[in-house]
Amino acid sequence: MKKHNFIIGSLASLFLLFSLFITGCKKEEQVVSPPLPGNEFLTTVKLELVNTVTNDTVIGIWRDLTPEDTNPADTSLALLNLKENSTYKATIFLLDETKNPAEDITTEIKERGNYHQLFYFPSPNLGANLVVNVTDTDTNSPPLPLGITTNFITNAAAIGKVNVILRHQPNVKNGTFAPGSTDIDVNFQVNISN
Amino acid sequence: MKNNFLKITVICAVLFSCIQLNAQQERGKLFISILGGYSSAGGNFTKTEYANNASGYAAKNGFNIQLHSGIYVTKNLAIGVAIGSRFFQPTGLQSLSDGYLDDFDVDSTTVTTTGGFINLNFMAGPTYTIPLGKLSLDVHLLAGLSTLRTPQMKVDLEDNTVATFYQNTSTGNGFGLQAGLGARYFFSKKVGVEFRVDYLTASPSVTIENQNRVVTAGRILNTYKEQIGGIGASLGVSLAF
Repeated sequence: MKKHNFIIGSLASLFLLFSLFITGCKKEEQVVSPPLPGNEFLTTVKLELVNTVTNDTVIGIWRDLTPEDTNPADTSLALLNLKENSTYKATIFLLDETKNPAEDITTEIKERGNYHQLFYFPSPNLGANLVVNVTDTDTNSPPLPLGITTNFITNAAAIGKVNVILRHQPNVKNGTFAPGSTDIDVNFQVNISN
Repeated sequence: MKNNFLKITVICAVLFSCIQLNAQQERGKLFISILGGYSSAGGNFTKTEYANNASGYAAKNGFNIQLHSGIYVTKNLAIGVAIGSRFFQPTGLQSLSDGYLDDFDVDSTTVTTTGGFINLNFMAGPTYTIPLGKLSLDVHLLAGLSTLRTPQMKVDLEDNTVATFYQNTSTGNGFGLQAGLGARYFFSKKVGVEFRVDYLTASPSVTIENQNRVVTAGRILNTYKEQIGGIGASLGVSLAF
């Protein structure tokens, strides 16, 4: 009987050891997806501001139709003439104008809003005379700012710039600027007058 | 003609009885076998479609090891016990990596898995044995606990910086059923070989643990409950006591 118990115990131990060996084996497998060719370009940033009282519309356009070379962008239309002490509802449009017809990237950014965020930084010389508040959010839990729609709130007359930056923050978006990388970084001249 | 048929039938019956008697005399009350072999899986468990959260990314072919035992309560009926492990490697990871690349719109992605799918089964149930001399044929229907452990999956999103998230190794339990046919051939009173074919059906419910999923984007599994069963064939050593 003792011999039987020994054999059964040995078999069970063998099985257990083999199981532990197998479960302990942590074979690693790795696959990589390389960059996709033919990504779209972000050639054009259009800011459309509507005065909430007068319904006047102000449009500023920053454009670089040759994003792959070193030629400077066309900033002649990147100008926002705003009234002092006003509120403007603003919407940003991001386009790829290397395609015909131009491709609206804004929809894609909105769809992928959970890891994109637009930031608006008025220059120091505008001081508190321009405040930009983001009014839309993504579908993260809890929701984080997106920045496709904003309110531009002006106070006294001033001149400066507003820096618009689109951050791509895959799995790192937390509502702050720091994580991720920059997809676009453009400036609009801002003139606030009466 | 009718007489011949009757004679043959009687002779066969006597021979079969003798064989049964002989086997009964030689067979112990207990047998224990250690087996290993091939296991298959199918269904959603082996699918590799990124957009389908039921896809398990497990290989269709794997292997098993099993401890199979039985204690006879009557001449032919035993209480059978099977403790077994089935192993399947992850597969089709390229579609997973490509899916994350597209969903996060990054420059490149790397998916790394560590370990495989491990299905442990603790089963018990009736085993009916037909002794044929040194050979015994078994049929059993077992039921019990089936567990599934999933591999760890690490996803690196590379886009100037690298953001990493994990689907950690997770385990879940469920009810399993195993039906099988086996043959044991004994070279001596105590030592023999066993070959068996089993079909397993089980759907363990696994709660998936995700780590560092900061934003709501890309394929994410929080639970996994799919059929993981399949057919297995195994061969091993058997002892009788």
